[in-house]
Amino acid sequence: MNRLDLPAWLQSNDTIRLPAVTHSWKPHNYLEKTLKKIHAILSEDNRSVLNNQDGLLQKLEPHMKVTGLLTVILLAALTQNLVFLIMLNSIILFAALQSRIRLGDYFVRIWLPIFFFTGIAVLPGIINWVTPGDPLYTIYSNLTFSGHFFTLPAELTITRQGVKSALFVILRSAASLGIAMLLIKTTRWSVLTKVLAKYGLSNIIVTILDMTYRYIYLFLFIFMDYVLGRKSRLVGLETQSSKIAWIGGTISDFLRITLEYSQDIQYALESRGYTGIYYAEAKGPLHLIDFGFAAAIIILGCYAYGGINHVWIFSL
Amino acid sequence: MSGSLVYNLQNLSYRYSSNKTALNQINLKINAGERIMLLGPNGCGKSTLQKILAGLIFATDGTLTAFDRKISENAMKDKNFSVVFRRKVGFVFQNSDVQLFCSSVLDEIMFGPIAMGLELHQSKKRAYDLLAYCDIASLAHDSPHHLSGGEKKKVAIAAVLASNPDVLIFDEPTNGLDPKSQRWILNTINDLNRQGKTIILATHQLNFVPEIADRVIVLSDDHEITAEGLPQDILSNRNLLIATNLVDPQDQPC
Repeated sequence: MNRLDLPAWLQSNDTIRLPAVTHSWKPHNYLEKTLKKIHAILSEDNRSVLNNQDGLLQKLEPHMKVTGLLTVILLAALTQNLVFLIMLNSIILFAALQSRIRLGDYFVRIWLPIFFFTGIAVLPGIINWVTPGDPLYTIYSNLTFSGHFFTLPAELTITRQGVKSALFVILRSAASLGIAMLLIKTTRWSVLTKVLAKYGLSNIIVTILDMTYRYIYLFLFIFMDYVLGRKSRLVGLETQSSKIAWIGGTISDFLRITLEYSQDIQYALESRGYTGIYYAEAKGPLHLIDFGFAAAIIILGCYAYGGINHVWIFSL
Repeated sequence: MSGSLVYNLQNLSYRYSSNKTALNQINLKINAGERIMLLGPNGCGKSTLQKILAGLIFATDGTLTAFDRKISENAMKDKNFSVVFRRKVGFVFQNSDVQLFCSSVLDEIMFGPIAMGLELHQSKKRAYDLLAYCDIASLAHDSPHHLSGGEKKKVAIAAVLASNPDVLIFDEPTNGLDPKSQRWILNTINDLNRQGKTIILATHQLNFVPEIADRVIVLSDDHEITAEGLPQDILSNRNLLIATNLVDPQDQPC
């Protein structure tokens, strides 16, 4: 093959006038920042498992831990005991701190989403229009307003029954989310999936769960490189709309790349004799702390269904 | 060939968010028109150093000055500067897949010139010039993702060259390619250097060093510069090459 000379424009320095910069209030690099944040959260979870082996929950035998925590989620979902839910959330906070989970992480991961999602969702439920009942606080009364399509109720109050229901939803959600976070932040994902396999979850589902976590990392890295690759060649400026258009196009390209990778992964699995059977490790030895944990779960269960029902919170 | 100072790295270090060190106390000066080869074992920080030089990630300690301006995350937020910087520095990634994000080879090559504000016909001219130069004119309307490894690498290089950068950073450009494609890339890099482009290239392949480098920087497992010098001096230091995992101690020297 005869080599061609470099094009003439490439043999000289560019004297092109680059596009003028205009400043905008619109957020920049949000995609990159989001990817970095996801990466930081995944890495932090991984680190907290690996670096805090002496934490309270990290010391527990995984089967015992998973069984115990799933039981507690069930207790939280079924109980009618508000005191139990308050106590359970306090215990979860204590267990998180004893498992070297930072207080800030706990609030950001649990109470922030609970406040913004569950809290806002249950807010209408506390008023008498949605949950009728004994008034706790009257916002207005004896008001008459009637329009063509809408008649305003004469009274708007916050009801005891509404507040109680809202508290149940919030505390149940916080407890479930808290336990899920404790489980993830104190147990290696590979161990968690092995426990699930041991408990009879289908091999194919466990394999997918196991690989998903690993490949979320891989694809995250690929996607971050993808963004860097583009950034390195983004010589000029781009509008917000072209950035959004790129993200849309990129998602489809990226899905195609993941599909190709998944095909390769399938081939790699098959070439190494994968038959769909998942190997799950035998149980680890049980220690005194595991029996203590089991006893604590039993006590919690008893309390949830037979505990004190006549304390001040029920007078709401 | 020597020229004005392009890069000046002083006590530059980089740590990942996990606090793992990728680069430690790097001191390095790179002049315009130089051909710098970064050698070192896997994981020594070559790619990280190249990403820092390309202004894609930023040192956690120390300073990097490029084109007489300190490069930092804040400096790159100055769009007037970052636009000029990106025009001046081109980066060819090790994995071409992550660098090719357009739906056709032609669009891929035209992406840089269009972003630079060139007219469509000028951008097209650049793209077709490069398609011819890289001998991939027949692939103009193909999807980059359906090409072979060698073709993808050619498209990735053409896409970077389209902006006519002054500094070209190549991360292991010959990795996994057949000898003919490797030869094409080496010749292209030397062609570009003869036109005054600064070349910064990372590789493990010692056999290319003499013909493609003016100066060799060796990074160690400790993520530090362990040696710096002329290609013949570095290659003749067998103890150094063994210590940095660049040759197998059991291999007999030629």
